[in-house]
Amino acid sequence: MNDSVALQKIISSYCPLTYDQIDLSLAIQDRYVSKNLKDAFGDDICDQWPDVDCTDLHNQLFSTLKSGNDILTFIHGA
Amino acid sequence: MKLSPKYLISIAGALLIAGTSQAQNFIKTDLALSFLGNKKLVQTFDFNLNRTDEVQNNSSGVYFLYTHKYYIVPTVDANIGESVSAANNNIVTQVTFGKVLGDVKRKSGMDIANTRFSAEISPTYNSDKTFAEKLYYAQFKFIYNPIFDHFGGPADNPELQREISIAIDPIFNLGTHDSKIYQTEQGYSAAGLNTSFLLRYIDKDKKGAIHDDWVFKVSADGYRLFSEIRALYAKDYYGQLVLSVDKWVTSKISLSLAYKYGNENAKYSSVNTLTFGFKYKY
Repeated sequence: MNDSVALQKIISSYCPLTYDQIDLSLAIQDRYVSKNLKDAFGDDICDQWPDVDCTDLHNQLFSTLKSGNDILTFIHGA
Repeated sequence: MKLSPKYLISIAGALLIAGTSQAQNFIKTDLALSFLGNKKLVQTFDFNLNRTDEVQNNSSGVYFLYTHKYYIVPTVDANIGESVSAANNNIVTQVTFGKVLGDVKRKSGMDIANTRFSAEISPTYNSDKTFAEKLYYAQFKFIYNPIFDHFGGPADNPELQREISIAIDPIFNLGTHDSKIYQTEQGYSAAGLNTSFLLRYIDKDKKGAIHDDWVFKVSADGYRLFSEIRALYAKDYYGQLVLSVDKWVTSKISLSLAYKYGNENAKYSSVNTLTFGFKYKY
């Protein structure tokens, strides 16, 4: 399973869509994941990719990291 | 000067306010109408970091640390108004050490449910705005927070339309009360329950831009005092009820209307007020 699919699967657990319907170029907040579930979403990403800086991720999630592609770039930079 | 824990907490609080002022969520200014004594209109100013009216404080976090579901998050809540008895007039500074205990997800059709359990220990500094009455305590808190999201619109392009968030948090405070007025210092302990019910309603246009974003919230906090400076309080049970409506006019600006009734720490003075607020998030 590549990183894009893994991220799509995480996002799809927060909305009615199946993972292959998730468009990683779109902004995530309140379209796929409610802003009030940001912390749970961040936890899932940290669980999937243990090398990422969780503090940074939680602080930047939905502010500078808007879309799924932004998150992938962040993960690959780790 | 001896360096007792309470001095250290004050210093940490002051540094926290200074060091994190750039990271605060928003500034808020209110006009408040007090129903206590002579009805009057007062001006208040709120400074908040990681503690907002419309969300649980741990989901707007600017974290010091977040790793393996352990987190450290500072919160500052300074409410400074011109009247003594109208609106909240106190300062609360906390550093929260928390652990996420569990996260349970459920998905069925257009509905998503997410329930989060966590436990927190927070060294807290709480004073009135004149710094005459000061509380230094450790707050132990267990958080139970289910969130229910309802999506609507076409099945291939659903949109978040409604959110209900319920929080039921038992708390226990243990520390000391330092009173300038009564020239004494005494043990302080209290146990209670913080509860809140939040309904968020979102309306989007066909392109997905947010048209309307309303947040209705009811929160009720109650606690029983077990030990405190006897002269300061008249009854054993205290609490505060807050009803509020927030509307995001743009993604940065929100207007709010709130009614508060009850008591506030650290003076246990009464609050009975209607406030109209303007909030700017940056």
